[in-house]
Amino acid sequence: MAQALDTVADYIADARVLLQDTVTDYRYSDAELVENLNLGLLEMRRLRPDLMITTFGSTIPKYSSASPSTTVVCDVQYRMALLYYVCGQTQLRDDEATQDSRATIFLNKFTAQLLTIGA
Amino acid sequence: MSVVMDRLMNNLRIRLPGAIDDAIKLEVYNTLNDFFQGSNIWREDLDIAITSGETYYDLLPTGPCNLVRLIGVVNSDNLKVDALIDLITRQLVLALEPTSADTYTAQVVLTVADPLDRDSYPVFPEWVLDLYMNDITDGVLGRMMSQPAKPYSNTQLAAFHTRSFQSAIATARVESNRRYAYGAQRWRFPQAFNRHKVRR
Repeated sequence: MAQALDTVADYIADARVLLQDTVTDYRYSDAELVENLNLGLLEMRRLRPDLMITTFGSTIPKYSSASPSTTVVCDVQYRMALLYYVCGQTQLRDDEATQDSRATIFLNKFTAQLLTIGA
Repeated sequence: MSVVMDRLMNNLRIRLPGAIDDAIKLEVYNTLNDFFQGSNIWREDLDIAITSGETYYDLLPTGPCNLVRLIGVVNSDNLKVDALIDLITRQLVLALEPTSADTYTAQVVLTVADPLDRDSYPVFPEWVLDLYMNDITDGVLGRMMSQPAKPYSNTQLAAFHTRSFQSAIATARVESNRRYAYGAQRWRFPQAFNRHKVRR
């Protein structure tokens, strides 16, 4: 049964809402958002190795914007955290539409959700 | 997954917010391994066809499991036979060469081993969870909560649950040795008797 944030396309769509980037042509490309999703998975591996138990004997999955329907392997409890990482990492880019504090909030939220209960 | 295993997992999930199933299953395996190795409760009687002059025999318990130790060996007349086991080769080693063909029965202690079942749970007798559900839960909680930097990390509760689990292992070992008979072997030599013997 389909759930929230199942696929690469789900992450891209939800990230665009939080980034206020829902009107074409987009401020942030799909490729950029997916790259940040991949970076988020690496961070998850560093902070919470147990979330990547199934990848210990292999490499961490890497997704591509060319295959938006691919399922992102991430436990349902931490999909929101990963989405926050995508937004935070995206907003680290220096442009007139972003605020550093907003990027920091997203990235801190990501870390806190991985490591604490009440974040 | 059996109903009782389902209950164990649900017990653990509600006490470990933020824990993923794969991590819990890993610690369930470790906990069961500790429990079986410490308590001797999982035993199996293995019949072995003995041939004259041969001292090494393969031990083949049912299903995926590891041998832990040998409780004892008896011959077909129910008389004790001196033997030991080689855990590496999984063989029974008789102390003396048998002089005639016979069927011996070796009682061995077992613990969990790979491969796991299709739900990634170790294979073990289900009655163990019926009897020791809360104790196994304590063991898994102790291990999970002692992990660093997790939402469910809690050193105080980890110590509490681990103590409870260690105590449960000791209780289970005694129960197993007494074959679950209430009050069995209640009488024992007074301590003064042993001290007296040592002084001599």
